Amino acid sequence: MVKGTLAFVLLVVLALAATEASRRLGRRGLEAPGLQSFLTVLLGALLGHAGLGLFTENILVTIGPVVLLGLAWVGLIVGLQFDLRVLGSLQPWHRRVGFLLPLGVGLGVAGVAFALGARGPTLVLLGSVAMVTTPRVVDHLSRTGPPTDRSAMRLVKLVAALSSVPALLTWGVGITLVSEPHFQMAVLPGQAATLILAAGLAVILGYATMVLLRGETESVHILALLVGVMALIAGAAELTGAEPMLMAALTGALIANRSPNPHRILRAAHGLEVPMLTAILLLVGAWWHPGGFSLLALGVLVLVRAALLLAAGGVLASEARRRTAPVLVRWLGLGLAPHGPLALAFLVAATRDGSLPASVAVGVFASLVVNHVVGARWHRNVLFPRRSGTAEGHP
Amino acid sequence: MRWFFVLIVAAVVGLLRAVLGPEGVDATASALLAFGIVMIGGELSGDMAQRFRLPRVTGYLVLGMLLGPSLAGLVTNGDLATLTVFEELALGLIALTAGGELQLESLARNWRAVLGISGAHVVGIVLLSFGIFWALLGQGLVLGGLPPEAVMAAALLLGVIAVATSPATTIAIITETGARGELVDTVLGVTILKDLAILLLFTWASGLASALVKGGELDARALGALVGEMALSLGAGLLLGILLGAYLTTVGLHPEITVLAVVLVSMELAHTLHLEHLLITMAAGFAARNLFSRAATGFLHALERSSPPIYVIFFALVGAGLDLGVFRTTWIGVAVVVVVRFGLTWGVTAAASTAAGASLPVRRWAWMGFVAQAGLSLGLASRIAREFPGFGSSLAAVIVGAVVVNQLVGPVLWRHALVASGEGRAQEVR
Repeated sequence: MVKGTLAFVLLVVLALAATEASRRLGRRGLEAPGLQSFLTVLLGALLGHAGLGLFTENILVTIGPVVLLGLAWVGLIVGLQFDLRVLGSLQPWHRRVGFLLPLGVGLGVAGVAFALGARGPTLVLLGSVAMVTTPRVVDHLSRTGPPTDRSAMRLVKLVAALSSVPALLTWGVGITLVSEPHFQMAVLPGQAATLILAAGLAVILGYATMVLLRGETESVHILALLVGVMALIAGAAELTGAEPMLMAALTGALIANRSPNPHRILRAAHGLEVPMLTAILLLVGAWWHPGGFSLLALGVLVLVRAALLLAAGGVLASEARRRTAPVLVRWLGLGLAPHGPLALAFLVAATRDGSLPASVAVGVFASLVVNHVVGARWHRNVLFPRRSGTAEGHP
Repeated sequence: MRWFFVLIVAAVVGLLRAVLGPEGVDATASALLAFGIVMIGGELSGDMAQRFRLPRVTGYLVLGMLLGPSLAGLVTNGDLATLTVFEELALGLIALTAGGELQLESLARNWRAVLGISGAHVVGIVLLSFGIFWALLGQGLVLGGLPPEAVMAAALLLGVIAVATSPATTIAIITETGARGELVDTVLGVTILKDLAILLLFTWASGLASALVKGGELDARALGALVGEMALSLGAGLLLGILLGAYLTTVGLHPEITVLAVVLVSMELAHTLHLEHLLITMAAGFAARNLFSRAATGFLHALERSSPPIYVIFFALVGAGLDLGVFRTTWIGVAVVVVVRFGLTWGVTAAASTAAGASLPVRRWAWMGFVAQAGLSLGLASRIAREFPGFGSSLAAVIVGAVVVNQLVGPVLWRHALVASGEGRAQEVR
């Protein structure tokens, strides 16, 4: 137990050091878009089953709770950002495209994958990952200089910010439906009962958290309570067979919309985001077993998704021209190509229970890297053509 | 209102466990649920304790007792086993903070009082309590009728356990009250010295008791091996502290995770080489603070500020691990042991500090810092139960009972001492 945890924490330190090193390299002009997260996964793979075999099965089982907690944390942050007041301030067509565009891309990718024979967790993973896109590349580059087209930047940020909601819902509901239920109820199928129970628990815990955090100002106490609540969610999810990210996101959304101080809570939650993310990414790499490479995953997530994004970008541009300001840049859809940490978290969650073929995991990972590089190049060459001096943070 | 929601959450957790049954509950899920309820409840119980002018630590302990296997059962014995790693981790962080509190200059200023009180405890309390317990046990007062050799062995073991204190509790209350001064330096120094001595004393006493009960001779090699292990622990701790200090000075990236790694290295060393986790981490904190003052001081203060969750985990799990069932059968023995230890701790500390020429606050309040007992005493009690099949289990039950009382009373007294002496401040009720 101790040995495993020690090995793991030392590796997290190593991964964080690598993150910092790549950030500093980036500062010197060696741009490495999204390198850190992918490097962390590769580091895990190098030391895990697929590489040196330092992570034994026993160790991986021992640190299983860390993964559950990490996944819940990712879900919590997504939920905390789902503020209905902000959504309400958006124009109706912005809300529509923000939710529907990622959903359409994801369903399109899933449809092609289904036609090519993907089923079960693989299908759910491909569809959900395809929906996710990140605003972090734009956020980062916008700090280095103004964009060539503000209208395009706003649209990319909008869709990227909202894409996590349909993606997480699709993942949470989809994976529950294709998994074996942990219990049966007389009146409902097991999967439906799991979803209802998960939602009920998330609401109870969300309200409880809100009451517990009321008037709390010190971030250490906020963090302690959040860790406690996320541990409960992770435990309840493991117990009931529900998806921890979905439960945590529901709890987070409730807090974001009903708590008087959601920003303070979000700030505190962000404090643990990088270590949690690093930990789970390291583990997903360590879990991989050597076992082929899925061309299907790569094909649908890179080629099909890119085609759908380009089409969606065209629709977005024409809507923008009709309603607000025309989009001047070409191939707007490619700006939505980079995935965020949520996509990696889906991969972690799918790999965790061993139901995902190793080849698919490798294929999805390769697709994430390709999409990130393609998207980041588009941003750098088209939207922010001035050379930036630094690399991005986590993709 | 806040408690109402915690109760709802606890009820939901209990319901989930009940519906799925013991075999349906996965160990990971169960431990996570236990961890979650401890973290949430800990924050609230700390606030509530503060409202009653008690240390937050007492709130955590009471919460642990309420949730533990003895009462509500929301934290099961299986959860405690799974969460041991968190308890040890928290203990390591607490010890690291304790080591960081010890400054060479202040130790040099108070060395007479520190050595005087430590010596008086190790010799005076052991001998006096041995005498008193021998007389009481001989009358069948604590454990009922025992053969003479068992009476002597049990009195010896009780005498040694009477010296044991809880460094974690001492440092937790110091951190909570933000105390600084001669009283703090003296009590911390004595606590750490006694922590070193108690292990040696116990090994010696348990060897002697074993020779008395089972016949044979005292095994001097065991004592020698222990001295070696302790020296190694201190050496390893100093080395880790130097590495930590050097890292904080030169690199300084992600210090919180680096410290976590240092504590885990200590845990691993303790497990594989049979070293003392507490000593290693304490020595590491001491070395980092005194050799790399600028980098380590700021960091250790930051560690102190972020300590509440660490204390919640540690003390709530300690509380949950306390077997409250022992009171049903051993309450008279427990009461006797508590009263004798209480009186001796007060008398011997006051006499020794006066003889050493310590200041008035030390003479008047220092004894209150030595009342609390926790993990070490419980560990020794379980060793007694294992090593002395005849009377060991009933003696261990009495010790556990006494630890429960001392651990509830000790933090309250120590907090009172720090506030009354003017070295600490009463925290505002949140």
